[in-house]
Amino acid sequence: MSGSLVCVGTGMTLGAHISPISQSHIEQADIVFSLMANGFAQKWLEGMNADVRCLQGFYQEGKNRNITYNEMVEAILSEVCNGKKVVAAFYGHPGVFACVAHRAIKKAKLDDFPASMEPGISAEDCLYADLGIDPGKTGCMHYETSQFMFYKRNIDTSAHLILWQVALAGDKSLGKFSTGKAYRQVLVDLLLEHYPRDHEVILYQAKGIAIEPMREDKILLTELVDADLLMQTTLVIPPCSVMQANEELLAKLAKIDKQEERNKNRPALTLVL
Amino acid sequence: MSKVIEVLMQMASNAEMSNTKSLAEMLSNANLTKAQELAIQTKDMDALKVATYNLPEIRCYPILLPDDKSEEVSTLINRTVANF
Repeated sequence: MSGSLVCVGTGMTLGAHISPISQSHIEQADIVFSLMANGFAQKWLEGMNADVRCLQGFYQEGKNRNITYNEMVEAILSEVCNGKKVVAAFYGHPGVFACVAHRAIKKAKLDDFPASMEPGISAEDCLYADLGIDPGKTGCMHYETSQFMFYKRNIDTSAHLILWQVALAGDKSLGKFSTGKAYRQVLVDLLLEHYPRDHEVILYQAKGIAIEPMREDKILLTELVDADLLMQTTLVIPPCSVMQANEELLAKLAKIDKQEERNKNRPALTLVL
Repeated sequence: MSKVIEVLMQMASNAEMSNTKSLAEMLSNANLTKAQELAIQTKDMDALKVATYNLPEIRCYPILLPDDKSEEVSTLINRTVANF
């Protein structure tokens, strides 16, 4: 029997966000590996399949996450190699701001096993709905917070800036569950190069179960240093400037418009032989 | 599946549950313990955790690494290059 792997997303809110195909994969799998956001979701998953194996045991404070994730991938792939129909279920979307599913699928494909991903409703999807943000309105940039700090990025203050995993800001060890005020101050200083001190930002968390409220705490940018941040907290920075028209490009487009208009009004020529 | 989970699923997936009366009716028929029912009514997540036995412990969340230089990716690239 040939093994296979499907990585599925269960969505953010227990019972509300899972797609029919993801649920079906979970129910029909030989083995389900899981990384859920709360104990209720883990229990819910365990009710869908008799062999659900929680991957939480691989986590350890101080242990490099790269090692943890590779161990998770190995655990998943070893059962695929044993010929099992394996499903790896992740909360939210399995391929958004999470590397285990991507790594596992790549490795399975390298070993010639069928492997695919089914999307789930992500924290990003919930954020747009809960906070009433349309990413198409003035644009929206998303960064992993530490990566945003480690590399020089171009910040467009006329678009929304969304920083994920802000509780881990500046962690180079990849082993912490949160970083402290000194790290956050570095982030705030970086942001203050582009945003005013009194700029209002939002700390957001999607709800995990029906009775849990979503988090939408509005604070000043400078208050971020002392804010209560959890691993699932996202920092949303609304625009602080208006979009500037690109006059040069608009002139080029106007020229093309004029040319097209002239071509339209030109009398049709008939070739007479 | 545990009754608490069934109730949470119902609340999350049935639009009718936004109606206070329907929710109260569902809760009273769900055979929950008094503590569980009260925790759900008052939306007290911590109390519900305490009232729900054998709840698995969730220590950490899968996240993206700032520098994702996984061995698998480089292996894939090397293999692709070797195939040319």
